[in-house]
Amino acid sequence: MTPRLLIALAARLVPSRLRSEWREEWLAELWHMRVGGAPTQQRLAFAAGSFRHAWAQRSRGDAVPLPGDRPHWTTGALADLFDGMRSVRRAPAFLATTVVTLGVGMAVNVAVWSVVSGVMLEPAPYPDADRVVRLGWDFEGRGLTVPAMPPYKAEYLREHNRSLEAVTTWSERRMDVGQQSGHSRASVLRVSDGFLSVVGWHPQRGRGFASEDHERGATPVAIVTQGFHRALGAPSIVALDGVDHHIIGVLPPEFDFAETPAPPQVLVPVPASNDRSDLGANSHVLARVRQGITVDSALADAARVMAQLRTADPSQFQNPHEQIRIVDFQKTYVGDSTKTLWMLAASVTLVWLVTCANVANLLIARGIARQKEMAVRASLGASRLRLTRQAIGEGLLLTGVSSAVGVGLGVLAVRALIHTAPDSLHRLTTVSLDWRVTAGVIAVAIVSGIAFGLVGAWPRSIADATRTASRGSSGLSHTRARQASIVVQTALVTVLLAGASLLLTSLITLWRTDLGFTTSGVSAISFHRWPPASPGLDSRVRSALEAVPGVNAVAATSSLPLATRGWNMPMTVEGRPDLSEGGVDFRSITGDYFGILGIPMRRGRAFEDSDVQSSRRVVIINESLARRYWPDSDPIGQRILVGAFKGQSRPGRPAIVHEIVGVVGDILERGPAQTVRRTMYLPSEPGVGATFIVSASRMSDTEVRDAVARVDARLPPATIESLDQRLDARLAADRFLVDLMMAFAGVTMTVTAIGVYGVVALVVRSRRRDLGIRLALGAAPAQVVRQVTRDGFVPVAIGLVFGLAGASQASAVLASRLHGTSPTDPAAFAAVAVVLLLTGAVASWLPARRVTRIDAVEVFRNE
Amino acid sequence: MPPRALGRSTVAVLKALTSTRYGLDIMTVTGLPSGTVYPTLTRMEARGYVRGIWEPAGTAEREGRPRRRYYELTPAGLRALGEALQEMTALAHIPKPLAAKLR
Repeated sequence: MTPRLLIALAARLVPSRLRSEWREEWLAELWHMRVGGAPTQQRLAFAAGSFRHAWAQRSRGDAVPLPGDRPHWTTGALADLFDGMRSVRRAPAFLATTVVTLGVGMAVNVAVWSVVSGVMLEPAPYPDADRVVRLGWDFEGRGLTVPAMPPYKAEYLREHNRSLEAVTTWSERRMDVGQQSGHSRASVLRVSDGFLSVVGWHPQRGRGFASEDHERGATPVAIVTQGFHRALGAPSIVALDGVDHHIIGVLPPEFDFAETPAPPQVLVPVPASNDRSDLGANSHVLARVRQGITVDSALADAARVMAQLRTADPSQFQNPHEQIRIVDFQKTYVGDSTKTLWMLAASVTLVWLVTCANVANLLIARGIARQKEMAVRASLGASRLRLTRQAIGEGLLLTGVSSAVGVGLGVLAVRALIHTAPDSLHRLTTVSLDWRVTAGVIAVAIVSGIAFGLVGAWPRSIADATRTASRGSSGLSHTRARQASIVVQTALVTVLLAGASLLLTSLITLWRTDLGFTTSGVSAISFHRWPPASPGLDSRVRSALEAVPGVNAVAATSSLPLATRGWNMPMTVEGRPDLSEGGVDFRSITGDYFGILGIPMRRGRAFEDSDVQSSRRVVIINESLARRYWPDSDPIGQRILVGAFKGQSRPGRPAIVHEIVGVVGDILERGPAQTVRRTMYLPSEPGVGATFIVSASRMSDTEVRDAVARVDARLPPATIESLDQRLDARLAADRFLVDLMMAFAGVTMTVTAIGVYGVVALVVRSRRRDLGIRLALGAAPAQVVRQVTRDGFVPVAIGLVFGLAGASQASAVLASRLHGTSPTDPAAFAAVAVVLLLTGAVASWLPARRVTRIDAVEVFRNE
Repeated sequence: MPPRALGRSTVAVLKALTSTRYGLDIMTVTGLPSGTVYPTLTRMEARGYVRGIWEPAGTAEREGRPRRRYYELTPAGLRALGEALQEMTALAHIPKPLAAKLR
């Protein structure tokens, strides 16, 4: 910004017939300043004054206005607005308080609504996304759909449908990039033929996958994203899990895939699975509907194909009601987070309302303080309209500056939210400040600004002004208005605080839940890849771990404790095909698994080493399974068919008879928020995905990794986590929500407390005469203080009552997220009441104390 | 309606114009910023207290610089200034030549 530019801008305001001479005069003076050696700062200050002069030219024209002349209404309106803005600038403390309050309120709204919009409201990022459907399987015909299908059925659908342009299956896996394990890992999508046609993305360079690429034994190829390709230095070959893949295509930079929490970096072709014995929903299926065909027709066609398969091959179906369904993206992927996010959105809206009520409060206060000034102005001829316009100008300036602050803080807030939010929040990494949201919040702010201005103008209305131009007004009606504002604020704060309190109670309950097993002193060591064809590797790794200093005991298991998913298998009680289940959780274990985790053995015995090799297969079950099928008898010695549903084995996978040798206590395998699942434990050497459970007093991660590397160099680096860490991670989402709600509640409570303080302080100031008289007449100071304190405290109490009533209704929304706590938990509500009453009492009492300092003599002297 | 009474900054500007001056000079003498001085000059021009005159184009051209506008008091302006100064008893001393003229 140069001085010349400022003058050029100001020139736009000058009437055209005066403009050229006006500009010439200013530029000439500027030239002389420069030549005279004036510094840039001085010249800028000089040029800045040209705006006022230009404005004066505009108002004046080139003649003194005749008595009948009136300036154009906008001139007056704008002048009044600017006047209003100027007067606010002269009260920097008030301006600062209001800007900070509004700015923070806006920032949290912008941040949370950006996340809501980014995670929940964004449409799928595929071209022509309306025609892309996700297919799932409803195993029992009751509407409970798994977002995946059995692979053979997906293939059958692909071959026999008439309404789908393309059908593809995909699965995601993290793979090591580079020849040595220990390099970075990439998110790899393993896709079947037709994937690119379904999602509608095609490589910007190179080619897509051909059918031949998907055949078994084909040369390994890959398509990568542009960012990934660049990061690797644009090679033509990339090694994934040690296998070289030729890069045949690079995707455009806009490529996006919505089904995974973050977009994948590599696509590799795999043959379509046609494992007829796999009846589990283990393939994610995406399909693109043909042009001109509705999604409903496509679903009907798919149902027809499945009916055709049922006739041709009944063994593929276990339940007469199972069927294909279309999966709702929101419910499946965003799912749990949906509730959380809407709750946050509702909370920040409450925060905004509290902020607005508080600012209205401040403005009324300011208006009262300036009553005399406004009265004088009014008596000098300023119309109500002008005063109102000035007030609106003030409001607009407040919201204008607050918007700038709010957007700035909002950018930081979005980043902070993304950084601290749990990883489970789907697609969070793609979220950024949403400009539509920002525009919306600013629009709301502008409307609020005009409303605030009008609120602020209210104490200055002419009627009041002429009344108060004479001395002695107590501003009583305005105090009532401010007290009403306190009631509203307190009620809203109560709702927020109640929600936060309930969530906190629930979180504490979760933390304290007895999982049925020990997490402290126990760590899980897992490998994301197990070298193929390595018999005995398991025991060698176990021995190596046992030798690490600090380690007390080691066991192996087929899956991590406190995971979100697990393995399951069908089971039938021998000789009783009616006593059967399609999916009982199972784990393969070796070593003292139960001892390390502290799981009690209720009956029978633990596994012995001989059980692993023995031809007589044994199994240990948990109490829930025992109670279900042997409620009145001892399950020890009973036999079950593992892998058979209703006595039928799956084709190609004969079920095996196992004898029950022990019953262990129930545990909350998947975390404190889940329920107990019926489980069976089998003794065997875990294959793929081996995890070792280690009980250790103190253990060095480096020593563990070294010990493992010495056993077999092909093993990838181990992931070492304590079970306490895993538990924390399971609770991360709940903790996140509690943290945010407490922050919102805390901020709004502080803001409201300041408002209460202000109201009482005003009462003290404006009623000095009354109070002074009372003290002079012998009233006990403590009593007078109490009376004044009530003026601030009573609105808080009233607001609290309304708020608790509102909260007990609103908290029903939280019910699904509360564990071991009811939405109207009396202890939580009582805590809220105590906190708010205390805060209100202190905020009222502090300014009320000033009453004792009123010098009655002084008051009378001023009469 | 009688014209509004002159404010302090207006009086300062008029006082400065007892000698013919450019806008910059007035700012230097009065210590007021451009945003105050120029609008005041415009207002006073409208009332007929001040006259704004462009310096002859030739003069400036010869000296290789842009022409400037200078301002001077009109007789009406002089009278108004005198009256205003008499009202402002707490203001700085009245320059002797002006006081002589008023008597």
